[in-house]
Amino acid sequence: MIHFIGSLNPIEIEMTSSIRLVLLLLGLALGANALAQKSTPVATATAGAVIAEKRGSVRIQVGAEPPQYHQMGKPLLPGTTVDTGPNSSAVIVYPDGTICVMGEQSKFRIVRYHYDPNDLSKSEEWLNLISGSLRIMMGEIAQFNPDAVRVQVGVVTVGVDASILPGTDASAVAQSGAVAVTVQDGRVVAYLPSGQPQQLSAGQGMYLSEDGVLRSDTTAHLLQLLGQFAQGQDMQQQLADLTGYNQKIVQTIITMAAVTSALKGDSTLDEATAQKTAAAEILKQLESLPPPGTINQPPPPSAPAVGVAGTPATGGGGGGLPCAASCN
Amino acid sequence: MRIGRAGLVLLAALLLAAAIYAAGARGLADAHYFAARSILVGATQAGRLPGPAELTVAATALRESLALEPSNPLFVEQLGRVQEMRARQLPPGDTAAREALRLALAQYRSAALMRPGSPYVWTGIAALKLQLDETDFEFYGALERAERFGRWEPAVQLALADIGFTDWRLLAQPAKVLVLGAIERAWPRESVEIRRMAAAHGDLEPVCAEAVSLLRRASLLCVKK
Repeated sequence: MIHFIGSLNPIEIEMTSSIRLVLLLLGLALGANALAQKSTPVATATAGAVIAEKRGSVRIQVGAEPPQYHQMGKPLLPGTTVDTGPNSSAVIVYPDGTICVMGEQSKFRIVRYHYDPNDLSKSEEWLNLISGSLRIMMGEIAQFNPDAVRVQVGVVTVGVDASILPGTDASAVAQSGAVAVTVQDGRVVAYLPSGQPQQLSAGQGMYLSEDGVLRSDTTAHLLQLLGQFAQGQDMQQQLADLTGYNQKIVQTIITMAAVTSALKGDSTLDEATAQKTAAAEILKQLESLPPPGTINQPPPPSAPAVGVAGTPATGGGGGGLPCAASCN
Repeated sequence: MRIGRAGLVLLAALLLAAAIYAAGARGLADAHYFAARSILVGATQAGRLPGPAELTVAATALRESLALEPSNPLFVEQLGRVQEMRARQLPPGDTAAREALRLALAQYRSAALMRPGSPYVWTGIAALKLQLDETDFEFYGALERAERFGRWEPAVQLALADIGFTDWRLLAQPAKVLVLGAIERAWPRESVEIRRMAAAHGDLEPVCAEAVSLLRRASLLCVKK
């Protein structure tokens, strides 16, 4: 796989990217056109996601509950953490058309997700790749309300640059304190812990080492750079593995176009085709989610215990002595 | 000659009056601040959160301090603490509580701009971001600065440890290393407090599982007494 990626030159990468873009547009058009039949007024806000496909061991954890193996058909509420084991992967889809592919040994959290097809300004998508690898195809929320989308990758926050359409396709790896992000389509802005923004367009990537050194370059050069040291080789491998999902992503895009269309009431999923069966299954799970306002999301992290107010008061001239956890 | 001397005297008098005014204003600001601080410290020493009425009095006093001396980061930071305390009196996750936390965060951000080298301010920002469930680049940046500027400050070390215990499994690895480093440095003086704090957060197993590989000496925490 390393050789596969290493042998791609920038022109080949650009061609692959263009083909994928054409397929994406074709998929969206086919999905929308083929399904534009009857109209059912379903358009409701949804807060949650679905694992459309998985391989190997996938565990989920909601809040502080103990982790459990995921059972297909069970939707994911905001606050859920998904873990993949060795040789495992998961494709997570969202009602706005966002698609996340998790690589093996990855930990990913849906921090916040709210999709209101009637009012995208009220929609929000906040995801967190804590460790491992993730490929993300942004959906409708990113397209129409990019400020509401944030993807945390290790210590780096990735946002969407709205000036480039259509959807953004990016891959990310967070491993042992280092972060690598590559962009296949669209454009993203990566914010480093220093606050420095880093613009990345299609065909570009960045690598933030464990000790905070930033390198950004074309994807091809970045992958070459990663291949030059041990940890980088692992990250290179994970990025290469994510490119192997191209076909799966195209199929999922078409399926999700059908799902989104049905969710909006623009079409139904009456015809019995394989694509529609998959879409109907996803739709069923999404519709089983409680309305956003009624979801009992796990509470946010409790306030730290140090000091009565949680934050230590400035010492010396300050705001009183912190009394640590003894105060609570 | 006489006019010149009179002018100098007048100028000196004006300068003196300005200095007296400035000192008076600062003194008054400090007096308001002291009143607010007494309320907060009193509650802290009693091991409780100040009540809503006390917080209102403290907030009013701090606003008066700020009106007299708007560029004092200590007053700004303390007002942030009062707003944070207000938030903690509301049910967690409540919209009003989030709003209060956001106001507190805004105060801390202002304080950080005024005094970017204060580890306390950065620790406050990190703790507030955690409570808002926003562990983003700002959170990690604040954590890193708190550690850099307050490496040997016991209160900062404890606060960093506490942040780590609060949400260990969702932290990115650099933050975990940083938290374990703070625990390691605080350990000789604060081992009892750290153990107690860890116990208050419940299960230490995930921390211990990683402590051994990330920072061996911090795994002292995991040795049973």
